[in-house]
Amino acid sequence: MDHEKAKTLLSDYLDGELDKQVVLDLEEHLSRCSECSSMLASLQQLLGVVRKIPPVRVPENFARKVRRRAYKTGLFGKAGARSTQSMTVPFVGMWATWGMMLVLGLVLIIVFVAQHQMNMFTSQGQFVLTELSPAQLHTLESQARELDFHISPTRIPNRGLIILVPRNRWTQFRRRLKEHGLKELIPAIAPAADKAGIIHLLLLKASDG
Amino acid sequence: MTVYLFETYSLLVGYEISRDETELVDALKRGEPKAFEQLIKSHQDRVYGLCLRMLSSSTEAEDLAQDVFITVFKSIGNFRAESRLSTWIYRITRNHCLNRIKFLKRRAAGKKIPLDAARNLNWSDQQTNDPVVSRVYRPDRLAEGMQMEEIIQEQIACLGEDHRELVILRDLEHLSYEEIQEITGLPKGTIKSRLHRARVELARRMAPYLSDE
Repeated sequence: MDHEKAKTLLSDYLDGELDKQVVLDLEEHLSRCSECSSMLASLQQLLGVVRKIPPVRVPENFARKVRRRAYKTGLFGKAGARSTQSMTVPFVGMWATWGMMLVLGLVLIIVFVAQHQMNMFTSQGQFVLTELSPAQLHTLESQARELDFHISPTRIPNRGLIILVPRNRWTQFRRRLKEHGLKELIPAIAPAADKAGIIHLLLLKASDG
Repeated sequence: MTVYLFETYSLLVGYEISRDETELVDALKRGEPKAFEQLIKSHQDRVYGLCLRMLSSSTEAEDLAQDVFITVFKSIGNFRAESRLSTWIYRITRNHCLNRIKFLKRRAAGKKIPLDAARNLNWSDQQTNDPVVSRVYRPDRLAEGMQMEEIIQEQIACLGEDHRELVILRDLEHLSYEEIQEITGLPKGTIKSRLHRARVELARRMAPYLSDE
């Protein structure tokens, strides 16, 4: 057999893909050609090692990831999704969404109720306390005067007053409110001041009606 | 092991297996999620394995294998049972791999990483940043505990795609020439000659490691 031809047949020889006669011719050539024998040996050695490599194992949770992707891409309709255990993931997702919406709704309601109860509406350093009783208003005003805070009337006469509390004296003012039984008003006023460091308190009387 | 038992069983009782396969295909065509699950379970190792060996990146392989299953499910209507389902899935996997390799090459070119230069690194080179061709180690790294299996996989990754896919399909996945023909669409003669050249090249690359074997 021709040397070049023999070289190309070595893989087929190892795979058992050659006819009997071709095998005999090739083996005869191999018996006298060191180059082909050497190449055959190295191919045999290579295949011996390569074919021993174990199959690859898929990473953990692969199937779950594919299912999730399938649902995300809308591969299954809702009816199909309900008919199998694999619904766990999208179902959990759906419940999680509804749960989050419910929690968000509850938080909003709580915030709204709390704001309403405290009669508090704030912006940057500005706090409005509404529905104050004449006694509460009087106490706030007298304490502010004692501490020498700036006090001014509201635009509507007899509707209430505005007290400007310097940020660095808020703790002192808060202590006085506590001492005079106005502790419940304190949470409604966050110790936040405007850029000039002033807390604006707009105090409004309870409506007469 | 399970795979081999399954294959042996399929050879002995081919009708039963093909009937099961027909039922699975029918269920997939009806869009049943349970069938999809069964399909993943029975083919995930081989699909992922082919992706991993073609791309040499576990992240890319996992992502691509997921794509393959989505594609299989979407295009199951085109499956005409002219070949085994597994062969058809292999064909889709192989095409996905080649497309991804092309994409990664283009991206590598965009980043000015010389892919061909990376592939032709000599033995003394340490690593490449190439997304397709993985690391190339020096023979003396063997002494540092490199496993032969890892070295072979790395050297296979250094082969050109047309050579690499044949070594993987034939010598690692143990597919017959007929199956490889169906998957690649290449004539049997081309597969044989190309595989032979691939093995010779791989043997040359592995020579420094195998000489002590």
